[in-house]
Amino acid sequence: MTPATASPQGAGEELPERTRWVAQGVSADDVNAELDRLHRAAGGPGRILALARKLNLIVLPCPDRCEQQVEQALDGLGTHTPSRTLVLREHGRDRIDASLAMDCRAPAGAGRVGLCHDRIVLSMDAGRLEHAASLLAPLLVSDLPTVLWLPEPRSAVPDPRLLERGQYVLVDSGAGDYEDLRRLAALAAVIRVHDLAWGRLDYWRAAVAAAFEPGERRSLLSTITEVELRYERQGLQAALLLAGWIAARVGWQAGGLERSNGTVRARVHRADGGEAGFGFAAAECGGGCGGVDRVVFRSRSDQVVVPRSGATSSLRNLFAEALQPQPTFARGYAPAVTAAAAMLDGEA
Amino acid sequence: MTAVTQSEILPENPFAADVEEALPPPTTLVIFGATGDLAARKLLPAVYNLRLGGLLPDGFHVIGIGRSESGDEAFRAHARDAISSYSRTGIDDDTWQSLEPRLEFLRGNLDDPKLYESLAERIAKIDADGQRAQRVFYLAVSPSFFARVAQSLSGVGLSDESEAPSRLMIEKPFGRDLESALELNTEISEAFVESQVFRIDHYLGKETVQNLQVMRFANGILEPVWNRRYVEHVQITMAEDIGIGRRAGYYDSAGAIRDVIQNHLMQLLALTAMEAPVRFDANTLRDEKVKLLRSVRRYTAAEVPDYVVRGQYGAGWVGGEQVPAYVDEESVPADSRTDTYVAMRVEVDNWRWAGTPFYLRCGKRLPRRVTEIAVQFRPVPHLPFAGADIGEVEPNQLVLSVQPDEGASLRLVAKVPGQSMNVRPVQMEFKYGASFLGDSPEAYERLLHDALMGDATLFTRSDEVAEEWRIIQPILERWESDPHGPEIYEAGSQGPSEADSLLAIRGRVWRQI
Repeated sequence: MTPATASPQGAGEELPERTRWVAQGVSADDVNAELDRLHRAAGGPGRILALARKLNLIVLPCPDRCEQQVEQALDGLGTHTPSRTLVLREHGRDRIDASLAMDCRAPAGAGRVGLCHDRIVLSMDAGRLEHAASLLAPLLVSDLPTVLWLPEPRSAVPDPRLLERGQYVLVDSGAGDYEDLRRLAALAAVIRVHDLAWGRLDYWRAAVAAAFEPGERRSLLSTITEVELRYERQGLQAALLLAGWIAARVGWQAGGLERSNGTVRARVHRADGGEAGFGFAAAECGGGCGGVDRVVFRSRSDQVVVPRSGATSSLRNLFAEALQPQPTFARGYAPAVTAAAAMLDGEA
Repeated sequence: MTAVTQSEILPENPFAADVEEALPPPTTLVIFGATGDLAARKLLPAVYNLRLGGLLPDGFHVIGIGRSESGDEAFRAHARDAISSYSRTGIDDDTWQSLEPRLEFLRGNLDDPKLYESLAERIAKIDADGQRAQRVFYLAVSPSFFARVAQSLSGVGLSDESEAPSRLMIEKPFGRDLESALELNTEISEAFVESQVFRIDHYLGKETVQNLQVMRFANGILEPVWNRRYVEHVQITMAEDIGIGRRAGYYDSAGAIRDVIQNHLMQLLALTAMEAPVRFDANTLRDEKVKLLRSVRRYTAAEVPDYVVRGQYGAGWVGGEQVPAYVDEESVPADSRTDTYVAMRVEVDNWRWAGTPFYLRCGKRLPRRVTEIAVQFRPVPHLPFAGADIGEVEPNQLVLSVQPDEGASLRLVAKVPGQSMNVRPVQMEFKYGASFLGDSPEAYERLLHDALMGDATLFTRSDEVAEEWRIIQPILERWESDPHGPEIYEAGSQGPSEADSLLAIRGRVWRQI
């Protein structure tokens, strides 16, 4: 083990301050011992500092291009969700390297308590990554929820045992391709998935539910033949997720996806044996719409229009919300993503 | 033959299960007093923030009613200014643009029957353009208009619920004594049935007040000790550092007892002391609150001085500024005997609380703004650390802070690290801001959304109001006939010294404000 630096930075009442330690060829015991030392060194005469940790956050490896995005998200973490953060990275050397940082916000003023949380970056070779759960187990804070963050939805979880350690996985299917929904459906079958795209669809689920609250509208549901979804041009994922949710809630069996002349359609089989379809049409909604601009339910005799109504999620910190351990964030997600994946699987 | 209800015929809404925040049905919100202070500071920002949060339906309209020479455009400009100034989230152009065309204005005098006919026509026109919307009438006007407006609305058929719900929202004060409160209830009930009336006590919309129920009834360790056997006494405080501002007209005829004790503090008392409701729904919860209020001992006029203290602030210093005495405030009569501070001891005569007093206090021009419920537990029956001066062994205290720092803290006793057995109190703290994300919604946002959803859980029922007045009425009668006025306390102090005497048995002291 070779400690490279051990330098407290920004002493005094600077806000925020960070203590960092970097070493190569370490074990979990080394990391724990150094964390203990950093925690003890943080306090002192005239300084009251408390460790504030709401969860264990394990950041799974992602390609170089998304590391900056990960850094930005983690830098803001202390203000809303201070965590024991464990970042996994892959490198080509046959050893484990560690970088420890303790971020403290030490407010000026007598008697005020500062809050600290720590971040541990662990770099290792692919072979060790496949057994990452064994390295992380002694580094997790007991009795706190453990969250796995998959910064790129298409990335694989390197060690399946990590899924046993975590209470849920955080992803953003909106950041990937609609094909990723297949992988997320498989993931949702074994662990709760907090998909930021699902959070962006909150308004649309509420609006669809409200549209079918009047009794006469509910009666119409069994006669729906077509659901038209106008989606934001950048990606079909959100519209597919919403279509999957609608299909799952009304008991439609997903058929296949068809593409022709720039249009996308998905066939579904109704419970009465009839056929219905989703038509997807690209549109511009100018951001903040959750990826969907309008939903229209059509039967032979009538239609129910669910328009976009005001801003939806543009001002919410969905990353922070999704980190909260409430299961309500993912309510309805698993059947929705499964139905969406089934549409993709049946693609002609 | 068995009657078949509509809900048995209709299929359930398959989408409702996965919705965290349901949207209200199409709604026309009518604000009486739409250009007034309450609308500007609270209601219009609440409407805007509900819109921003995606919590309003597509079919949503606001009709503002006022006396000013306003048209739709002027009202929209006024609303934009109000939202810019008072919305907790500022104003976002996209959201404002989606809200703006939904705001309309109707000018009129509340005494003029033509106003209500015009209103009915305007509502019918909105309905004709879309789905039949529920109506919510918010009376942000002087209480003297409540009954008149309610009856006028009923007169043009706007309280009718045969096609869609119709609701009436009113603000305190609900009367100025027991008799006037009962009269107001009767007059309103001639126009709207009780289930249509939503009486706002905005304290009930605060997160911490709602959390009081969760703390009590969702944490197994608290309820077993929440009774006279373990609780020595309870202090409920609502202190303000501000004076009366420009509210002299209302405040001088109301005083702290009508402004705060009769409503906010009685509600906090009821929520702190009531039995566990079977369900958290409107009537079950309110039944429990009424039961508790009925078990509060009514003092005779002769007993009042032993249990209730009143004070009025004199000149002094608050927040580093010199402030005038109450009687030197603008528009306050020089010989005013209005109470700006009230402390009272409340005895709850039921099985759970007999012998455990609740001390309520509220006041203006106190050192700082704080609202809290402090539950003081009894001391341990025996200390095994005999023979040594071990330091302060203070009884446990659970403090639920409503404002300004929403949260809870529990005082425990812990050993000071070292060779000797020394102890001192330590605090276990939970702060809303530290544990949950983002700003809590304003109380008015929550309450307005609940009213739009038809959920009356956080609103006060008529029998609650009546019970609150029954507790207060002997105090009002005694004070009216009492030649002694309120004790003058220095602004910025802890309040009148008589309040200390009220508490000073068994070593009890007020928590410092």
